[in-house]
Amino acid sequence: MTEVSESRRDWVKLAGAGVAGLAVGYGLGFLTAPERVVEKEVEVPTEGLPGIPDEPLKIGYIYFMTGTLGTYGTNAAAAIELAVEEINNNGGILGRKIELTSKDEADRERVLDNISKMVQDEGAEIVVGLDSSGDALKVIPLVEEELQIPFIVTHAATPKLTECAKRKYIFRISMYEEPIDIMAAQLVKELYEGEVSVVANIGPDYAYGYDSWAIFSGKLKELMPDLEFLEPIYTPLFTTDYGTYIDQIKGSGADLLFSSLWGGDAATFFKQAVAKGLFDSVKVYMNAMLGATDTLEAIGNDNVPTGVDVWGSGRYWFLYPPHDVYPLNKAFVENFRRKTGSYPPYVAATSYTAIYAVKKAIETAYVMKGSWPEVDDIVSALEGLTVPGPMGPVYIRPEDHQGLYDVFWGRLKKGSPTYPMPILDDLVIYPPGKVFPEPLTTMVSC
Amino acid sequence: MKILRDNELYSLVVLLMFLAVIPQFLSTYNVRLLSVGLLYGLAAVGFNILYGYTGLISFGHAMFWSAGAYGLAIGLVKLNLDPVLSILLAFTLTFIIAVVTGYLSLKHTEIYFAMLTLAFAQLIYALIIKLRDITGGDEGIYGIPRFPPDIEQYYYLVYMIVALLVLLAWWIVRTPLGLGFQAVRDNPYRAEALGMDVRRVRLISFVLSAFYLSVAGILYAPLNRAITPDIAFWTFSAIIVIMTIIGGSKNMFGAFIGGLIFIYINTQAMNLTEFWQLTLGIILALLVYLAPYGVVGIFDRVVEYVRGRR
Amino acid sequence: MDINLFIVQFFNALFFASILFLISSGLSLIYGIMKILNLAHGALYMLGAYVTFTVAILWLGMSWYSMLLAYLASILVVAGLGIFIERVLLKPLYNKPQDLQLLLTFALIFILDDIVKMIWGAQYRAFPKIPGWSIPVGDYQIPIYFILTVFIAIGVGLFLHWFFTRTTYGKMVRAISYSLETSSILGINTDRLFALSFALGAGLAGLAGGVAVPLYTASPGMGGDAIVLSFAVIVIGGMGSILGAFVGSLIVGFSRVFMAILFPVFEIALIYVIMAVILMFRPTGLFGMEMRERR
Repeated sequence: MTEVSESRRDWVKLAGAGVAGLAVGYGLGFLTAPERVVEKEVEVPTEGLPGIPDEPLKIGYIYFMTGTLGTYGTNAAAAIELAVEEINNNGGILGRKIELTSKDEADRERVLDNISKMVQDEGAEIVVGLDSSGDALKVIPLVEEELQIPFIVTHAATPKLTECAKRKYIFRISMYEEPIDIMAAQLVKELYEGEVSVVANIGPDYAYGYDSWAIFSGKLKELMPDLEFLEPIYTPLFTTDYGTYIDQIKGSGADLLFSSLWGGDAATFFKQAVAKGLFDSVKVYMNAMLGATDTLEAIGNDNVPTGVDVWGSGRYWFLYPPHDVYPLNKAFVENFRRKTGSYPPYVAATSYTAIYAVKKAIETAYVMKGSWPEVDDIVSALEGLTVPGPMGPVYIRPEDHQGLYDVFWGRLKKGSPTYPMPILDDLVIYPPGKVFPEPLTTMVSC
Repeated sequence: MKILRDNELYSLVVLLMFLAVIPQFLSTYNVRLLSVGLLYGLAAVGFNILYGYTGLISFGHAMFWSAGAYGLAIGLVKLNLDPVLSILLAFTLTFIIAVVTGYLSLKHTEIYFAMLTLAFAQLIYALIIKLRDITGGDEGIYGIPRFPPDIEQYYYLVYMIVALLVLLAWWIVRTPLGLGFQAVRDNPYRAEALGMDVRRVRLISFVLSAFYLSVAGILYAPLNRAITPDIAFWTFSAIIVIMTIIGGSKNMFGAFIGGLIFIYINTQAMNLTEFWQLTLGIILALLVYLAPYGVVGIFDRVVEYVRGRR
Repeated sequence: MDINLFIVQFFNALFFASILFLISSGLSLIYGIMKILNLAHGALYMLGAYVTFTVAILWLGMSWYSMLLAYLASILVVAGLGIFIERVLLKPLYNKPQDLQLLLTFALIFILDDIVKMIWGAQYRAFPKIPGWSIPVGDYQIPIYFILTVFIAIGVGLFLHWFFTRTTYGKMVRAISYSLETSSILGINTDRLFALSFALGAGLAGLAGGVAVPLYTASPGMGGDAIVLSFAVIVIGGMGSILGAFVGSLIVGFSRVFMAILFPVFEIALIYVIMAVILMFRPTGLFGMEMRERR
C-alpha cells in the first residue's frame, strides 16, 4: 500500500501548493485560481446610494427544522443567521439590511404552501433551502411559473434539478451527487487498480440511492471493465438495523463497498459494520456522504477501523480549502463554532454561501443597472457569478444554474485529540472541470 | 318545512356564501391557502360519511386522496392523456382500490377495520415508492398542468365542486341510503334484522367516502402542480381523522369546518414559533378538553344558548 | 449460503425481533388492558433512548454499570411520564367519545418530539461505540450487545408472563382486560390498575429506547419510524396479547430478514401483506383469544 499513499501524498501536496497544472475544462476551483480568492474584494459603498429601497430585503429559507432531519435545518439556519449578521453589521447589501423569515420543510404536505406564504404573504424576495430531492423537484412549477423569484437550492442532490433542463429562477449552489460519484470511480481506478475485484453497493431505497449507484458503477465499469459488480443492496426507509445487509455483503466476498447512505443512517450502518467486523473482508469503503461533521460526530472517534481504507466525500469539508491559505474558510469555521459550538457541516457552508451569492449578485446587478435590480437582473447576475464560499470559490454555471467547486474525497482517520470526531485526511481534490458533466447532460433518466 | 329549521344547512349555506365572497378581499397567497383549506374540508366531509355517519374509523384514507392525485398526474404527465381521460383514470383507480380494500377490510369493524385500512394504505405507499417508472418514486411527479392557471379562478373551480359535493353529502345522509348508514352505525344487529345487508351498506359508504377523497386529490394535484408520496403516508391519514374530530363528526358542517380550521391552526402555529409542533400539539390537546364534540359542538351550544334566551 | 452465514442471518432476525418485541409489548399491553391505542408510544420510545444516552454517556461515562443505571432511569422517567399522561390527560376522557384518546395521543407525538428537540437539540445523538466485544461465527461476528438485547427481550417476556399469571396485581389487571364492569363489581380498584398498566407499558417503551440507542442514532422524531412497524407486530400477533407481540415480532423480524436476502424489492410491502392477510382471516391476531371473549 506504500505506493498508494505516496500518490495520495502527491495529490495533497499539489492541493496545498495550489499548482494550476491539473486544471481541465472549467478550472474554476480553488486549486486553479488561488490568486482570485486572496484578491481583495472590491469595496462596495454601503451608504447614500441612489435607488435603494428603505425597507429591509427579506430572504426566506426552508429546511427540515424538526424530526429526524432537524439537525440539517438548525445548522443551516445558524449559518444563514451568521451570514446575515455579518452582512448587516457591515451595512447590509448596498445599505439595505437583510431580514429573515423561515419555514419548516418537515411539514411535508405543506411545503409549497409555506414557500408561497414566505414569498406572497411575507414579502420574501429570495428563497434558499430544501433538503429533500422530492421537494426540490416539487417546487419547480411553483417557483418557475407562479412565484418567479430567485430560488437557491442548497442541499437537495438530485441530478434532475439542474441536468434535465435549464430552470429560469432555480439555482443550486451545492455540490450534487454526480461529480462526487464520478470522482469516486476515477479515484478507485487511480488508487486501487489491481487491488480490488468485487464491488458491492449499499444505499437508501429511493431515487438518490439508485442514481448514485448508477452513476458510480456506470463510470467504474467504463474505467475498469474487469471488475465484478454485485447486485446493489438498497435499504428501505427507516431501516435502523443493518446486520442482515452487513453479513450479506460479507458473505458476498466484496472487497470494495460503495455507499450513498447519509446522515444518521450512514452513522448507524458504519457503527454496526465496525461491530460486526465487516471491514475484515472489505478493503475499501467509499461513502459519498461521509464527509459531514454531523454524521462523523455520531460515528465517533472510537469507531475508526484499521486495516481498511475508508473514504468519504460530501459537499464541503471544514478543513478544505486549508485554513492557512484560505482565511475565509478559517473565519467561517471559527465563527460558526462560536455561534453553535460545533464544526460546520456542509449544509452550513452551502446555505452561508447562498446568502453571499445573493449579496454579490445584487451588487453586481446594481453596478450594471444603477438602481436596485429587478428579479430578472438578479437572475442574470447570478448566472456566471463566482462567489467565494467556505468551500472555495463557487462558480454558478449559466447554462444550467449549477454551482461548481472543487470535489474532494478524503480518508477517514481518528480526529482525537484535536477534534471530537473522526476527520477526513489525505484529501484528494479534483477541480470541477475534471468531474462535472457538461451542462444539461445526464447519466440518469429525466 | 322542516328543512328551513335545519341549523346545519343554514350554517353550511352561510359558510359557503362567505367562502364565495371572501377571495375578493384576500391576497393571492391566502386564496391559495383557502383552496387547500377547501380540499381538506372536502376530505373531512368525505371521511365523515364513513366515520360520523356509518361509524367506521379508517386509518388509511390517505390512499384515496393519493389515488385521485396520482391517477390524475399519471394520466396527464406520464401518459399524456387529456384531462377528461385522466380524471376517468383517477376515478377508476380510486374505485378499484376502494372496492377491493373496502370489501376486504369490511370483514371487520372497529379497530380491526382501522388496522386493515392502515395496512392497505401502507401497502399502497410502499407501491408508490417502488413503482418509480409510473409514480416517480420518492421524487414524485411534477409539472402537472392547472386549468384555469390563475389561482383565483382555480379557487372558484375548486369552490364550486367542493360546495356542490358538500351539499350533496348533506343531502345524501338524509336520503334512505344515508339513513341506512346511520341505522348500521347505531345498531348493526337491528339493521340486519330489518333486512339490510349491513356489509353492503358499509361498502357503499366506504366507496362513496373514497370518492370524496379522490376528488380532493384530483383537485389538489393541479393546485400544487406537483405531488410527492407524503400524501400517501400514514401521518396524512391521521390528519384526515384528526381534522374531522376537531371540527366535529356529528354532522357535515362540523367536518367541513374542521378541515378549514386545521389548515388555519397548522399555518398559524408555523408562523408563530420555531416550536410549531409543540404549539400545534398543545392546541390539539386543548381542543380535546374544551371541545370534546368538536368545534361544531361549541357552535351548537352557542346556538342553543341564544335560542334559549329568545 | 454457507452454514455460518445462515446462523448469523438467523441471529440477525432474532435480534431484530427482540427490538420489535421490546417496543411493541408495551403498546400491546396498554391496548389490551385499557383499549387505548397509544399513538405516542413511539415518542415514549424516543424519550427512553434520550434518557439512556444522557445518563450513560453524558453523566456517567460508558460502562456496563452506567448502562444498567441508564436503563433503570429510562424505565422510571418514561413510566413516570406515563402515570402523568394517564392520570392527568387520559383519565378525564374515559367517559367521553373514544376518538378523543386517539386525538390526544396524536397531539402528544408533536409535543414530545418538540420537547426532546428543546432539551437535547436537533443533532444526532449516538453512543461512542456499540458496547462490548464480538463473538466470531466462522468469518462472521455477532456483537455481544446484540446477544444481550435478545436476552433482555426474553427476560422482559418472562417477567411479563410471571407478572400477569403469578402476581395479584397482574391477575387483577388481566381481570379488567376481560371485563371492566365485573372487575369493578368484584371490588378491584380499576383506577389504580389503569395507572399501573399505563406506567408499565410506558416503562417498556422507555426500556426499548434505552436498549436500542447504543445501536442506533437518536434524533427527535425517531419514534415515528418505530410506531408503524409496532402496529404491524401487534396486529399480527393479536392486539393486547403479550405472547402475540412475541410471536408477531418473530414473524416480522424473520420475514424482513429473509425477504431482504431473497426478494429485497418487497421487503417492506410483505409486512403489510402479512398484516392484512392475518387481519382478514384472524382479526384477533394469532394469539388474541382473550380479546375475542371480550367482544
